[in-house]
Amino acid sequence: MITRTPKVELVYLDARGSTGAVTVHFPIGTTVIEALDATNALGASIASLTGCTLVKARIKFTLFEDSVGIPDEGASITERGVFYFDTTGGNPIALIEIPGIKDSAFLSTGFGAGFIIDLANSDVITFVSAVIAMNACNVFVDTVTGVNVAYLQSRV
Amino acid sequence: MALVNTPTASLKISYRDASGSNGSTTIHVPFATLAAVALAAGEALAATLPALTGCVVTGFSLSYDFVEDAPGTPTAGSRVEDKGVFQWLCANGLHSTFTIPGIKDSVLQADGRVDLTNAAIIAMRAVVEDVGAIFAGISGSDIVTLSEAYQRFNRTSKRQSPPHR
Repeated sequence: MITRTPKVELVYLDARGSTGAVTVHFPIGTTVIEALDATNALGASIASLTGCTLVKARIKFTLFEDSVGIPDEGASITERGVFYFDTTGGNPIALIEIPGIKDSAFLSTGFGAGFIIDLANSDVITFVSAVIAMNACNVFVDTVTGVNVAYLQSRV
Repeated sequence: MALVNTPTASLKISYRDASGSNGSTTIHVPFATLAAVALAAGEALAATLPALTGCVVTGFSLSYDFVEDAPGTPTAGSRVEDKGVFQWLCANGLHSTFTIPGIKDSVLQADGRVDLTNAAIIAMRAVVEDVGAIFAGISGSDIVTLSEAYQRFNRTSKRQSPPHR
């Protein structure tokens, strides 16, 4: 993976309801706190230069693959493996989708064969373990504790 | 008025399939997660995906979002297409540019150049250029000084047009 310089996008709203952005980069290694402090200072200094109003900001870190492989023949992003995770707290669901899910991830026999993801599959277990290890959560910050069910969905 | 963070940061893993179409997986982590920690976890997670997907991973991004909790009202007649273009010289000799939408006429000269003696412009330059300022060009090189600044009108995009146009 190659790391790009992180950036901040300050989004402004004009009198017609259209939005435009100021995009500025930071050196690699900049922390979110450092970027936010700089963003606040920049936003304050821009306020007197524009008739638009600041509505939101996004600090973004990006990595990209330096040696992208070749997709499997027939692989399609519309065929999605949808994983429903259990979480702590009162909002018990977190959803994570994997585009182009392989046939090898599904149950091969019995009810659900070909569309229910086999939670005992070693590759699935490795993925789920990585999700839990990274302290993933849902949008309400309820921590993921384990996978509940997973199956194929078509997003055509 | 302040920028308030959303509860989570989001990790977006990008894929490409056999037809060349792009898709993604989004995973949330608590907002307090350090970027370095989240990015390392993202790499670890991305390493598990080739076994599960026929698509290839092309990269991923980590976003920390903030919203203004009490946004002001835009000045009447302000347009995001009316840009102030600021081109900066970086320490490595390359240039970096950003634009400020809805630039005010009060900071412009009659010929469309930005008035570099305007107090608000001087203040903004100090924030971007001064020692300790961390702003950089896309190459990561420190922004040193303002090279050019002028007004430019961008074409209105389809999304910016009024409905039914």
